Amino acid sequence: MSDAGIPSVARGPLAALADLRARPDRQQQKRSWPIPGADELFRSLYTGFEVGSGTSLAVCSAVNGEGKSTMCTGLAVAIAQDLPDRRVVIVETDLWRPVLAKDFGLAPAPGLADCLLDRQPLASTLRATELDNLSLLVAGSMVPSPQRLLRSARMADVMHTLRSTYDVVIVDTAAVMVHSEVALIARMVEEVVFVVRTGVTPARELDAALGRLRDANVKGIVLNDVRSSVPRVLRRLARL
Amino acid sequence: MIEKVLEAFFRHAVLIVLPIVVIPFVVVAWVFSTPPQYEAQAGVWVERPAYLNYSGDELTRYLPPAKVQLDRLSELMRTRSFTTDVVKDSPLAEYLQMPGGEAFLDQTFARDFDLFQNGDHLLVIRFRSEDSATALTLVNAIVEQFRDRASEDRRAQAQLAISFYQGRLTDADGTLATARTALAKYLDANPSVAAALAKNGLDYARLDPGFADLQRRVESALRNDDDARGALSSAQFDYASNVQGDALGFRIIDAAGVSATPSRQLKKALIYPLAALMGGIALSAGLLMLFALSDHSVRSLADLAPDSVILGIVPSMRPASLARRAGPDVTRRGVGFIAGATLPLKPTERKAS
Repeated sequence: MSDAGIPSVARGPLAALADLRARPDRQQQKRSWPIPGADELFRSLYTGFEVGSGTSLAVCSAVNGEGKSTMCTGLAVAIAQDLPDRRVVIVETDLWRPVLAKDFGLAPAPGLADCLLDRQPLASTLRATELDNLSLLVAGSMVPSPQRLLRSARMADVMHTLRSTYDVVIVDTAAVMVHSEVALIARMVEEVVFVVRTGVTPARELDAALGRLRDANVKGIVLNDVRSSVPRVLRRLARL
Repeated sequence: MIEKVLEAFFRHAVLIVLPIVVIPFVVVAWVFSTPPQYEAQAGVWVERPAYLNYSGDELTRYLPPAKVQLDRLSELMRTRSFTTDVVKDSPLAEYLQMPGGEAFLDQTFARDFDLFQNGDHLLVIRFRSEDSATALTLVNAIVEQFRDRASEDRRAQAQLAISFYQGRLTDADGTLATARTALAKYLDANPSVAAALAKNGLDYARLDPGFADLQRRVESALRNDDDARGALSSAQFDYASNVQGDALGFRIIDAAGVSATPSRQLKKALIYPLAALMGGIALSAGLLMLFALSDHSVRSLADLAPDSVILGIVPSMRPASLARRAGPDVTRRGVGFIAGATLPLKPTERKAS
């Protein structure tokens, strides 16, 4: 809510961004990567994707909680920061477990679901961020059957529009083994990045998920959250 | 595999180490919280009853006497009448009148009573109790009751054997008398044989087939008579020894005694904790293998298909500065912070807001 009592969403994404910037706790925070080395990490990742004009990629994983949204956000922020002349958008297609709106302190609607339901034009559902060349298309309102929306022709239209409007379209998908619509979305983009979180992704599920994406252009795997509980000395001794 | 095992160990270190610490600790606490036990022991020398030598029992013939008596006492200990007789003059007698007392006594005997053979003839009877007097009383009572039962049985069996051998001796005497009568009648009827016997001796007389046959019958009846007489004497001797209370087949070699110091303290203080430690280690090893083998998740590049294209490896990105902040989404929000993502508030900040 703004000072005037008008919901930010009703006044459009720019007004919401203004509200966001006006929040005192944000102004006090220094806008730099709070995680040391993360910028370089995502930079090295997107370098491998050969980001150019009209790049669209989907970030998928086999099961939930593997870091798809983190990967999307990190890649998008790194690209937007490093390439100011490129327009980047994050599209949240996980309509079952949306997180972006909450992460960015935005109202959950309008978003992709509202756009697919023709309640809102696409332009009004896009949200600005504190990076001028980075936009968000959050999941939007909760709908009873998201799978129908994602399988609709309207979804393909939206993707086409976004790819023609933005230089880099990064699609945050649901888990492949949970929602079969992900395979359809994966075919709407040029490349697919598959996230595997160590200690979470079962090897069998990974194989099955990659099998479901056989018609998509899976660029490769990003091994996420790699860590070892074994002390470094022991790892060296055992040559792990 | 070693990587998975190490990973499982350090990931679940607390859970895996817990049995190694907790089980010995519990056992040590139990050892020192339970009262000490005293052990009374008696050694009994047992023999096979003499009359059994004449029995045709092929099974018991080749079993050592101690084994025979051990089986017998073990069976007796499972009977209510025997245990009641054992307990009735001991400090445990009060349990006979209590509801559930018999079950308690059964448990006590099952737990604290030991019986084993030490060689072919020595039977060792042992009882443990928190009270040395009780242990001693019960061992003595078991020995006495067992001896009484054994003596009674032996007496009964010896009497039976005496009756049997007496009957057999009577039969043998009758047979012998009949044979002798028949021989005398034959000699009367055949004076030439009698003359030959008188003149040339027994060997010449045996040339007569009739005489030789009768003579063999007399000799056979004599042997049977001697055997029956010997068996009867042995049974009578056994019976006499039992009646006099000097059962040669049941002698107490080591009278029941009880140690001045509690028994098994060393075992309880050392062996039980050591066994608990070994058990804990075994349990921990089992847990470790369970964790390692049940982990089917991808842990490293080695778990991916060999032809997989690896675009990058992202280490764990949960910085210490954010780790204490609430919420599982802290890393994602930290990554998007530059673009306007909100970092989770600290608990103190949350309260203030």
